[in-house]
Amino acid sequence: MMRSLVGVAVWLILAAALNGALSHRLSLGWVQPDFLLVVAVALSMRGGTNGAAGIGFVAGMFHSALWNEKMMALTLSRMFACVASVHLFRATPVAGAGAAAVVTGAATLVAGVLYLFLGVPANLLQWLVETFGGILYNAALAVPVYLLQERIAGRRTTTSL
Amino acid sequence: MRGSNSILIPLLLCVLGVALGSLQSRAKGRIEAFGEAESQPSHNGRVDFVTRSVQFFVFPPTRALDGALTFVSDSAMSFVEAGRLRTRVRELETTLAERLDRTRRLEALERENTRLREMQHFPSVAGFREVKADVIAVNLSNQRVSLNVGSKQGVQPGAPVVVPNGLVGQVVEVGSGVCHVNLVTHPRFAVGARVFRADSQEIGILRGRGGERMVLTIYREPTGALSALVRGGDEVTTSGLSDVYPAGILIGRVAEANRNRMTGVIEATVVPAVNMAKVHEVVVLVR
Repeated sequence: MMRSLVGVAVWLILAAALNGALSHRLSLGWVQPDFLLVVAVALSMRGGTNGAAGIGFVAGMFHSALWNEKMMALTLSRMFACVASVHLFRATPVAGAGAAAVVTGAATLVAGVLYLFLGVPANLLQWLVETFGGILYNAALAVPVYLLQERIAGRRTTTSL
Repeated sequence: MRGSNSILIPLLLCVLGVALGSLQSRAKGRIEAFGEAESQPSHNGRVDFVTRSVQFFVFPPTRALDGALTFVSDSAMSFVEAGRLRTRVRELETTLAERLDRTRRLEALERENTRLREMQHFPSVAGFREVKADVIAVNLSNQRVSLNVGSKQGVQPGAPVVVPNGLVGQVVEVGSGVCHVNLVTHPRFAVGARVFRADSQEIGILRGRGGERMVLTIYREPTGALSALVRGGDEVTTSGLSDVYPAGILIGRVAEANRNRMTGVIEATVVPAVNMAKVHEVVVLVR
């Protein structure tokens, strides 16, 4: 249990560092990859609802700490996105990298829509581009993250929260 | 029981999220709730305790990774840019060389302009026509120079060559567009000369010696003080006693003078007034 928690924390801190240091370097216009969301979804989709809610919540906190704003919008949107990813992943017929990509894209959409209402972005057009571009970007990123996770942890479930 | 537990934790986290959002907004001095955040942009810039605590864990690896990525990115860019920079440096070096060359040419033109201005003030000599000329070749080891004027311009052998500050020499060979001049220091150069001092107008023959100095020979009875006749610092000019040279053109200054006790002949060493190495434009005096 403790080992899993530490592992999740390390993954999320690494993802936060990637978000802060690498996302803007990989941006395509307004579209940036959201490493925190991709990793949070990858960590939570094969676990339970509570674990997913916790991971999403922490991912939102980390994201908010990087920006120093939108704590409520980011924690809640990420939390519901991760919970949604659990149910979506269960619904996919075959568990694999493709399913992880689809689930991550869908979770990005959930997080984006919730953020639209809770965080109220200043520019609606920018939000649209960010969200729908982010769906594709994050889905693409989910594949290597999933494969890496598989390689490190085998087929074990990484969250037992 | 398990179903209510799976709702309870997300619900508690929702409440916690709202509380933390409120805490963060309050610390920043504005209300962030359902759209009011953007309408009140002013805040006092403080960071709440929870955000600060999370930043404590998140920022160090972020900064470390950012530093590493910046280093890698800069190194890669340097590698990529190196070829372009080398080309640019070569271009700049070429441009610099061109500019330096242009500056040197401008300086040369400025010097030429100054000399030409001086030439304009050259006093006209009665009975002679002035033909301005450029020095096109210098052979100081043989005490000769060549000018870009010749018979086409009316230059004839024997014509004096002068600059504003003195006598340069004498034309000895003439082509159609070129002539050659023996400088005053040439061993075959000779001219009637006069010591130009208020209390001495001694006349003698000045000859080149092939070196940097000339010798003025004055034939005189061995009487009287030598210094009364010629001494160091006296100016020596053309005497004007022949048709070749007009009178009063400065040749040089006496460095020292000696008298042969037996014959009474005075020999004075004369330093040319003109620095032959710096002569570029001259005037040929033709009749």
